[in-house]
Amino acid sequence: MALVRVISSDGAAFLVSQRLAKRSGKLKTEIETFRKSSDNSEAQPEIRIVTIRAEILRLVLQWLQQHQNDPVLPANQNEQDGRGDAEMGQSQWDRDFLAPMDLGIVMELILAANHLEVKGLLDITCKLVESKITGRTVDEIRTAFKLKSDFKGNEEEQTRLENRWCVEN
Amino acid sequence: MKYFALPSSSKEPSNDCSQLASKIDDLQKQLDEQSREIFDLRWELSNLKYSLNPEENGGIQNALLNDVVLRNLVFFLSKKDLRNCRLVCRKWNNAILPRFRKEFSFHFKQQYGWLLIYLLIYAVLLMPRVLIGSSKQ
Repeated sequence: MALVRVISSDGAAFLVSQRLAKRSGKLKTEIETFRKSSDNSEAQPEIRIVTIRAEILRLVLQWLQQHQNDPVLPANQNEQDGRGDAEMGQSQWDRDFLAPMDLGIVMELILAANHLEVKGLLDITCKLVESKITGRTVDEIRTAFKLKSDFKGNEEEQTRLENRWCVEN
Repeated sequence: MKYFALPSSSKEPSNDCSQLASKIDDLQKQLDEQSREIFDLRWELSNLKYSLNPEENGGIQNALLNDVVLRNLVFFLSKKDLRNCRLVCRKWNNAILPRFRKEFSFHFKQQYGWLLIYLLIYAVLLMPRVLIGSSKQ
């Protein structure tokens, strides 16, 4: 079985099968680039992910392992469909996987899923964030996610006015 | 095991049902409040944990200011939440706007749409007369 070494930002190495690694768009590209540049076809690719630490990389690989037989969806599937796909694909395992995580880890997982182009994981983590947004007021959302309003002048008031004048199609 | 038995001699069963429904609503509200409190406590805990390691602290905020992440997140938001989320910050507003424009239209269209059509018809009918009048002069 062909293997690939994936190294995290803090130097931890994970040995995974190439079949599994190729489920990530980024890792697939890296493996293909390595194959083209390497003379030895038997050489084991080594991929360094400088933006993801070991704990998060382990979680991504764990998720990929669990979903290794799922169909791979294109990264822009949601934009094509105009809706999120997480509802369709979220299993009990996914819910148990995300349940013990605090929001800090979820945020890192979102960035990792985005960086490694793992659409399924990005979808379920986004769905989790959405569940924390639903039903909250603007101030509550800002407080919960530590976001600051950067509207200039009367931009915020204008947006409020637009909201008031809009109706659902 | 407990069973809820409806009294057979009850004269107003609909009243009992509405009482039960309001009780369920109250319990659901309590549950929602409690789960929100748990979420807030967890969030506080994660903030404290991350404040011990400030290098990793950036990840919490940055994920929700990342364009690709935001663009993906937008598809999961309900129409009701789209309005609120537009007001969070400029970045969120920019990310939400394309979907917002698809899902919403200005009230003006619905209320005054017919008036606009009448005005257009009137203008089209009036145009030849104006043109004829100006050519005669």
